[in-house]
Amino acid sequence: MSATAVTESDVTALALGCDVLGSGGGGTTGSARLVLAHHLRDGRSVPVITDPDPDTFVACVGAYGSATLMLESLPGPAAFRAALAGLERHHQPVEALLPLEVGGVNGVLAAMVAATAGLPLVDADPMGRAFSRISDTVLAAGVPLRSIDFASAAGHSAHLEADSGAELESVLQSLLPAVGGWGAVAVFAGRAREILPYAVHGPVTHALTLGRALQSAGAGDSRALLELPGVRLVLDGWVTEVRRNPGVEVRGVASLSRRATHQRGRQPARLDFANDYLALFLAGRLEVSAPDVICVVDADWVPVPAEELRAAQQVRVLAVDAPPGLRLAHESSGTFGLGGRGYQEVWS
Amino acid sequence: MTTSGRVRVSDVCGMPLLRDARLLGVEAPTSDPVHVVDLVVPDRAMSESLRAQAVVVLALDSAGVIAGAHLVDVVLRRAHDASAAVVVVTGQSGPVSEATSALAAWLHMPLLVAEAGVSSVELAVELRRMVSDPDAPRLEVVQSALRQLPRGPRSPQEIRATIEALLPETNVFVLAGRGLALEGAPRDVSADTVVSYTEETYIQHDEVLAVVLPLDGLDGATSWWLVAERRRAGRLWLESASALLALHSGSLLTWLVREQAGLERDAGIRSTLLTEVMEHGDHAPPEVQELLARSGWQLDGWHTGVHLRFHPRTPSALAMRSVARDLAAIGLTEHSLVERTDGWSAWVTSQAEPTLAETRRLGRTIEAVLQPPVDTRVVVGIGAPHRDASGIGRTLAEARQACAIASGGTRPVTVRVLQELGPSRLLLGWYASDALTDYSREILGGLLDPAEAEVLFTLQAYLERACSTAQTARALGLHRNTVSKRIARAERILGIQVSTPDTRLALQLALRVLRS
Repeated sequence: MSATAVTESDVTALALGCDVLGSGGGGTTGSARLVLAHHLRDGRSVPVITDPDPDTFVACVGAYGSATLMLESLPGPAAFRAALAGLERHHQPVEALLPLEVGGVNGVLAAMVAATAGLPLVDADPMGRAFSRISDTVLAAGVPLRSIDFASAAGHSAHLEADSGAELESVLQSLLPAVGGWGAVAVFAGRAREILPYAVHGPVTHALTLGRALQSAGAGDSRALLELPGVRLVLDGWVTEVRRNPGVEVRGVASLSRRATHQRGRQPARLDFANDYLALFLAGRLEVSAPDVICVVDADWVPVPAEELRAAQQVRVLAVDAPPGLRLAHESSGTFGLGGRGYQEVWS
Repeated sequence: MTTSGRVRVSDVCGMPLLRDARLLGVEAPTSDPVHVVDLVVPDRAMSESLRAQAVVVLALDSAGVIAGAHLVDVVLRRAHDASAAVVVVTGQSGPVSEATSALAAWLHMPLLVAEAGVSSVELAVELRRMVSDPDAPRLEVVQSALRQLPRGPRSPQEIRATIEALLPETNVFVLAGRGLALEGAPRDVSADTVVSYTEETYIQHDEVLAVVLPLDGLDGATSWWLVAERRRAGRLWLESASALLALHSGSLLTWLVREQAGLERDAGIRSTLLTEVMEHGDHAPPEVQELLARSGWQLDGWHTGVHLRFHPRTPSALAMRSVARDLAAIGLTEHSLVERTDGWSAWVTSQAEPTLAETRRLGRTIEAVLQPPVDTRVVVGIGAPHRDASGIGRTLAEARQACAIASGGTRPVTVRVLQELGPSRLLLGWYASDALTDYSREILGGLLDPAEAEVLFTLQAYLERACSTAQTARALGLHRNTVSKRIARAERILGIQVSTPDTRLALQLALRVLRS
């Protein structure tokens, strides 16, 4: 069993990396990273393991619902522990945790729950980035979603079962308005040998690597970031307009202008988003689209979520290749790109 | 059938179905040729092959619940790469993003965003019909025009109604010399521009296209202009409009010439009548009495004379119709206007003697309603009221004199009421004197050379401003030294001193006499 660990000094890098893999969605990590740092003070750490014993009993844990509502108060560990306890009542004690999704706030919350529960964190997750539906992940394709253990911050809890993941998820969504808009969930429980073959591997170390490179870029040296395999700077320019469609989802289009260089003039670009960034077109050509990750950073290399994007911002747009597991799954099913999000599929 | 180069992007923009479409990417419709129509449904946005010189219709109205706004950008780029001519989007909900309009502009690719409700299928059918047979719309128009082709003369009003009915969105008007509108009025093109043409011309100005067909009068000079104009029109409209104007020009010309001849004959009769009235006063011979009765002229009562003098040229009887329309405000008609050697005269009759206030009000009304033709100044003199037939001659003579005094103005319309002229009436006789005119030329001799026009003008302004260099400089927008230099030059050329009071008076009189 190879292992590394997340310590207090890794929190910022982990959070920045999770922001990148959030692709502009998944909720901001700002307050969750403070809570995680608090639980890792005095030299405590969370072990991150890559290949646990095949019989290890694992489960995914994370927050589900409105990230905005969740951030109205600091997300403490209680709700997550309650969801896990619910799951353990129907199964057995959990021996290692997987993040529900590495992208956005859930990547940081999983480490916090692991730290407070004294459990190791497995370096695998259902998608390798942020996603919008649990039932629509790489992991769900191999491990059917049949039950969800849910707990709200106010102390409500539920164990839900259904024959289809989609049905289960719509029941869960119908609960949310009554319990404050979000809750902790524990899902995909099983032995490591039943779960991990279908998960996406390495998301936590990926987040740490991206986060550390982003930290150096913020300190003035972007070479390490731009030399990372699978990372590309696709646009350096500014936002000229952000148009958000009315509705629950943060859905819309941002217009950008690429800075002119001596080889080429300014070029117009469009960035479509629906909760997270979905596709960037440069001069009418597709540059990058889901399931690849699109990360917008400001002049200081700080990630800008889709809901905070505004006109006149100076931005850089980074493309981060989808992890191999997600890429393979998308190529065989075709469901993790624009088409799966209600947009007409395009290609470059 | 060869269709090479017949249909242009501007024709596509001018289609009735795209009348309210927003045009992005280019400022005005281009004249790039359109040869084929490529209809693109959303799920073939990446794969449909696009052709050069195509009008590409992106049918987002068939996208259903799938989001497709990003396809506009993709198709714009693909159309550009394929050298297509224009992209038309149907079913685009909400406003177009800045990214899309910036991309269209960056690619110089015209993008038409159709109004909600325009069906891509209907549009594509119309486009294919137009592109495959560009002559069809024109032939249809010309055929219906031929069916309704008039025999014999037709009035400008009838011609305008016929052409406007055949060409939707089109404005038709007829101008006479110096831009006077005989029928309709220019909407987007300027009357000045129109009357500067003596041959059939197409005017393109921003989004506006106009066909100008000049018509020659009996004397061979261009006297009228038949014009059709339309916003966002293309070449196909131009061809139809040109054909229609040509078809109708004959009957219009016949009407105009006949009308002008009739008007001139009437004007001649009225001039003769006026001479008779002025000669015989209340005792005209019976045959003149009969003509007077038919003319509708009022001989009894109080008459206030109005004389109009036009610079640089007196309009024809036909063109005076529009002046008569303006003067309807003071109760005059085209039958009231009598042509004189130096302009047109008329008089207003009332039963009670008009007060000075009423006469002044008459002057102000004329000033307000009269719109002279392009590049023409009109000077209006108003005489004092006089009674009965014998008074008509007097008031008209006074009106003419007031006109002479007013000639100095530079505004488009200058009105002078004789009773207000005060002491300057003393000068009226002088202005009319031929001997004084000759003498004035002699006095000003050296300054009448066109090369000295500026000096003459400055001298005149200087004298009118009580010989104040400062005021003259301010009025003419010159430096004081320039004014002083020009006055010195005038003194040198004329061999006089402006500072001498008698010289000053003589010079001012001479200038006035020549100007009147």
